Amino acid sequence: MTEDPLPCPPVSDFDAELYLRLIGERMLTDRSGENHGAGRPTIAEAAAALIAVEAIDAPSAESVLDDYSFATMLRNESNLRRPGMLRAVPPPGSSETKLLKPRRVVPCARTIDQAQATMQVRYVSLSKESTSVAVTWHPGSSGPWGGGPPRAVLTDDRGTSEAAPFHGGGSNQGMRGRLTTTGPLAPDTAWIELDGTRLELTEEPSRFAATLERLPAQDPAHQYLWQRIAEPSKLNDSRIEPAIEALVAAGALWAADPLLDEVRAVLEALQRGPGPGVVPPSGTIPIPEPWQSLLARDGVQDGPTGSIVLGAVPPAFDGFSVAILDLESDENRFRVDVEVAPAVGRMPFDWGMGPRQLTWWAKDDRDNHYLGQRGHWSFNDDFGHGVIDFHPALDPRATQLELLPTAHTTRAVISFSLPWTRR
Amino acid sequence: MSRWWLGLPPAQATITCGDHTHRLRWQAGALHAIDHDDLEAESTLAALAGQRCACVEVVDAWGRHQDDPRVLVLASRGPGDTIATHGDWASQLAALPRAPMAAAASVSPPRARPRQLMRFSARRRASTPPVPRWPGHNRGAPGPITTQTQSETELVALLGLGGGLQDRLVATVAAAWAERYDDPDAALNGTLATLHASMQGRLSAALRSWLGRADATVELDLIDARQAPALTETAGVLRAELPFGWLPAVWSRGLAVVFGRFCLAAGTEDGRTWTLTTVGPDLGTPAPVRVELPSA
Repeated sequence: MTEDPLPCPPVSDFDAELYLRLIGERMLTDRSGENHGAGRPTIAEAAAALIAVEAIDAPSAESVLDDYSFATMLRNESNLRRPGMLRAVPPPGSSETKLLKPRRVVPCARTIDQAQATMQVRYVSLSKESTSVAVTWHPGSSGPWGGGPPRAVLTDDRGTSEAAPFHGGGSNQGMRGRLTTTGPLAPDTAWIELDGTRLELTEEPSRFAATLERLPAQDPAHQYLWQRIAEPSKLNDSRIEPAIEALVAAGALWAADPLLDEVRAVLEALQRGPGPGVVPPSGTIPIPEPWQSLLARDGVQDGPTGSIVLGAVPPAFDGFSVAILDLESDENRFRVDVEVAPAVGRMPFDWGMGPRQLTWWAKDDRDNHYLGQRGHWSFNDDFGHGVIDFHPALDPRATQLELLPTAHTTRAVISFSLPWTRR
Repeated sequence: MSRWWLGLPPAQATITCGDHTHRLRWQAGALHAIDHDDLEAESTLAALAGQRCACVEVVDAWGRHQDDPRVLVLASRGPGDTIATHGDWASQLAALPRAPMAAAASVSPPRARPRQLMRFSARRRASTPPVPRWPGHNRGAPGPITTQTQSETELVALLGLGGGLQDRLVATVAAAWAERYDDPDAALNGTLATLHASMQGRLSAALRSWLGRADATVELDLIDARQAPALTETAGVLRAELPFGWLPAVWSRGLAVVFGRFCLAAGTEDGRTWTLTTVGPDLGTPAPVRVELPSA
């Protein structure tokens, strides 16, 4: 990121609650439809920014959002017929993060032919709580698509069997996810049988180093804006302006701050997508790292094809606990199978603030940067599991990669070698 | 307590109460279940028989929300801003856990009631059995009703009452808080942003409609009731200087626009003859308009 070009003004005695409520008032009579979709409305975008610069505390902001989400709901008859859809519902349960534990993760590249589908096994994860088999499931072209692989039965070398339903996502072209038992199998089992097909667990995962790194101090408003456009949710791609307006109104940001041009230029480039002109020509607005290198390779389709199983569980940081299970690369992108505790993430129709999300950066040994977006995702009470899709494609010349799940003050650094042959 | 309801005509709605259709009537600042001769006695008898009376529940809920600032957030901002809930929700109130406070045949005009007491009584209700689902009842798995669900269920029901009762509830709540403006306390300070925004929303809608400028920018300065109200325009921004009392005194009475003029204040000595302080669309010098209501 760039150095702060201007010292930011202190947050004044600006009334953040009134500011948010007046946005709410405009929303109630707004007929543009801008605030009626699945994405976060203007009031929520502004609230998140004001919380970030401590212009308002999260419970007060949540209270305002709750008022106006309720008011909006009462104005739509179809909403009244759809209980459970539109309220900002705080997640149940404890706010304490249940730490993810190191577990045995075994690479297991096997293809299992089923009656009307093919199942590719990627790895097996064994812990004292449960056993998961990561699979990519391809339904056959002849049969009807039933929406995903059926529940399987997993058996260990002690003869213990557990049912393992599928959790994951995809399309009729293929489903990616995990078959997970609710009870554990023996973590040290020599093999697993998946519906009678034996999977020998003899391989070792790739070596990695996992550390934590404190982020350099940054102006809160600047940090929020950069983090906001790096968020892994695709629901709110274009809604940075309400945050900027709120930060300026609060006195946390100068309206003429040159950083705003950079943020807007990056956002515009991200939204424009791959193609010529992604990086502005020299002499126009400079795009800072890590965005510069990320955008420079956007759309390049030269990624190596291969996979790595890791099973990395770095120490918890900023209230987050993560597990990095495997990485698959192809010519367009690379995907990382992860678990994140607590089970946070922005859902459709979610107005709530909740805890901040992690942003998912990666960096290789050629100074290329990559940014992750959340793919299919599933939750239980303790953690979320799913896929982070990184773009652009991995540089085929890279030999080392660092995955950088980044929170408010700290990031984890998971470093490992890329095993495929250099082109 | 001032007679804030002067000039507000009675309002009436019907709800399903048991096997009957009953009338709820608002008059002179209070809600009455007029088809029950002795609401409290009937309520007691019904309770002994294990039955619930929707009229009791609505009157009781009205009492609990007569100074609830959320009413101002949720209710309509004026013509064209319609609430989708309807009277059927009121009938469902009889399925809610019974509030611990005694049912009243009618509700007195609003008076200050400590917020803690509301919380306490709602918390006691929280140990009662689950209620039927409603739009807001989605805060987790079925189980004991939460304070918020109880409150929101009642609000949905009250705002769905027809016959102008929603408007009277807004007037009731606005009057309660306008009175507190003269004697500020911690509760008022914690509600100022809610009151300011909900009045600005209604003021903006009224001004935009009056001037035919749907995108007009409106700013509101809440002033002391003893100061002179004003409406000016600078650099395309309409700036109103009004006391919070404008909401119950002018807006709730439907007096925001009279004879094509915008009303900044309304005063009366006897409830029949009103003097309105108004400005024309040129936002010139305020001028009085006198209105006399027919005798009842």
